[in-house]
Amino acid sequence: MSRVFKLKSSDNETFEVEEAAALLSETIKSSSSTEITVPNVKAEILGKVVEWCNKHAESEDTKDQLIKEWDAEFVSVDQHVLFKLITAADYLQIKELVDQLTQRVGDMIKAKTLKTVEMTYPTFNVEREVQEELKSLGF
Amino acid sequence: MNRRITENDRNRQTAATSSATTIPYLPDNVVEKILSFLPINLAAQANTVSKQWAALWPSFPVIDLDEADPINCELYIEPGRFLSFLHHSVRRCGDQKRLDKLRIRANLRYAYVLVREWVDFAIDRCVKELDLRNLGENRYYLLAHNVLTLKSLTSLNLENVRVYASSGIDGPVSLPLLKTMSLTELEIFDDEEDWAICAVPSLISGCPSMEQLSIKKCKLGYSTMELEISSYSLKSLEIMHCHCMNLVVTAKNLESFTFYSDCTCPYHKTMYLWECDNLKHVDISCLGLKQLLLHTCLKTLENSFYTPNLEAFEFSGYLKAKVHFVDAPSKLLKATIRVWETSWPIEYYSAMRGFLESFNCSKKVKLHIEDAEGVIIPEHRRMEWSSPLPSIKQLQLYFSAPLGDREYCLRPSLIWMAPSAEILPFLDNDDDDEDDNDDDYDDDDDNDDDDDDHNED
Repeated sequence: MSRVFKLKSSDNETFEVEEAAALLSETIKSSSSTEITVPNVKAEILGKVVEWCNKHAESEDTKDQLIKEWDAEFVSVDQHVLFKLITAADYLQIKELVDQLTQRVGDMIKAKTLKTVEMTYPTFNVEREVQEELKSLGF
Repeated sequence: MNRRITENDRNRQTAATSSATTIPYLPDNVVEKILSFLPINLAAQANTVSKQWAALWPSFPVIDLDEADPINCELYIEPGRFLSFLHHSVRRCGDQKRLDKLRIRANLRYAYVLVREWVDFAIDRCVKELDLRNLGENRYYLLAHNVLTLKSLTSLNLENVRVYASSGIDGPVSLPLLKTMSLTELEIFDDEEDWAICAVPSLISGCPSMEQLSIKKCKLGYSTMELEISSYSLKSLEIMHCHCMNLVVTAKNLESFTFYSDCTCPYHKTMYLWECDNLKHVDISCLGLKQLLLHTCLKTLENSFYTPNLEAFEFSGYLKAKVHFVDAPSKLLKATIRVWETSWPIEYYSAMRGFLESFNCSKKVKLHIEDAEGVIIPEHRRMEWSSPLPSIKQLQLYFSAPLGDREYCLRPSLIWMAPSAEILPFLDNDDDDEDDNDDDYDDDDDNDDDDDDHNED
């Protein structure tokens, strides 16, 4: 008889999760209780994380092409949502989800689609010593 | 623990109050993970996102420093910027213990000191793959000799630099694990003093595991008359557009050989492939080549020879694969074919006929065989098939085993083979032919028996 876990968001919504999906989270795994409150994570985000866990619990083979495509779709979200998902997945210690989300951030940096002012106009922190050394080399 | 919390709080505040960046605070382990997906040049940029990101510098198993990368050209627009990046990043990476691959493509003349730092950095971390390409002119950059004694190296790719292969302080070239070497536009000399001697043999003898060697557009030594490539481990050899000289290749495990040269200078005369029993793929395009010797078995049909100025061709081996000339060499004076077969299964005769066909452009064909039975094509076949050598002028046969009764069948078969040719008096395999030019290479005796019988007609 598999247990059912209850995950509560910061805005007081509760999600019921089957054991197989819930145990993808190390935090839940090492928790003594089946009722876990996830602080700082709203229902909208927690719901998505639960969706990911359910999908990955039912499919044994994570190398399957269909699941890969589903995962790719899953991480193609707004930067805003992406970072919130990362925070939630990190708190819940769902390693694979964190890997996928951070990979996505890396891809966005490479594609320069990540929105930060600094990233568009990069500067190096060139300490004075470096400048002086370059001067001595003739530059 | 306390200190960490304070820093985290501070970061959170920065994120909250700063309107410039929209990347929120993330835990250290998450930021490390993100940075680990980035190549070094982007990770260096990413450190401007926040103090937190700046503090967390990942470890890079592969470091790619490319001054000419179009994707990153905005990084290097200002002069000296790439140099400052080189300087900055080698220090940032200082703590990492491992490095799998280092690739630098830059004007190595200007970045000489910094590149030296990077190469030393890589050597200290037992790098496996090293790729150095110089964008500057004149091959100003001299490869540090300690690269040539790096025990961990499995792959070396050099472009437009200078290499002195002779013993440095660390001893002779020794790269025991090296599998792949690629040399493009290099000057490879043995010695700083002596620019004449080609250092390729020194490099090869120092690499007992080398499987792939590619040499392109290299200066191999001004007075080297002969380049010998001898390697037991080599599987693939490529020599393109080198001002080369006579080439001898001895490589028992060689499977693929590619040679391109447009050079027609007088030094470029002879190519000799010796004991390359496993050759499966041969592609030779050599404008100046006058003499080609294949003492080997061509195992497959995949071969291609473009040698329009060829004057002499020699082959020893089994007639398994046909020689494909892209354009039949019209200046071919002499084709010497030593047949190793000693039995005549059904496929043999068509293989023999097919093999001979390629040499119809020659003036003279010399056929060596132990047992002349092998050149007596069965009569019914002679009626079905057309002659393989209708245009040649002279046919010389050498054989050793006496034919006995079968001798009367020999002449008709040869006449069929070469209807326009003068059938010269038969000779024993041991006999010298008067009009033979002095070969540089010994006439190798392929015969099993030393027969005293001297067959002459």
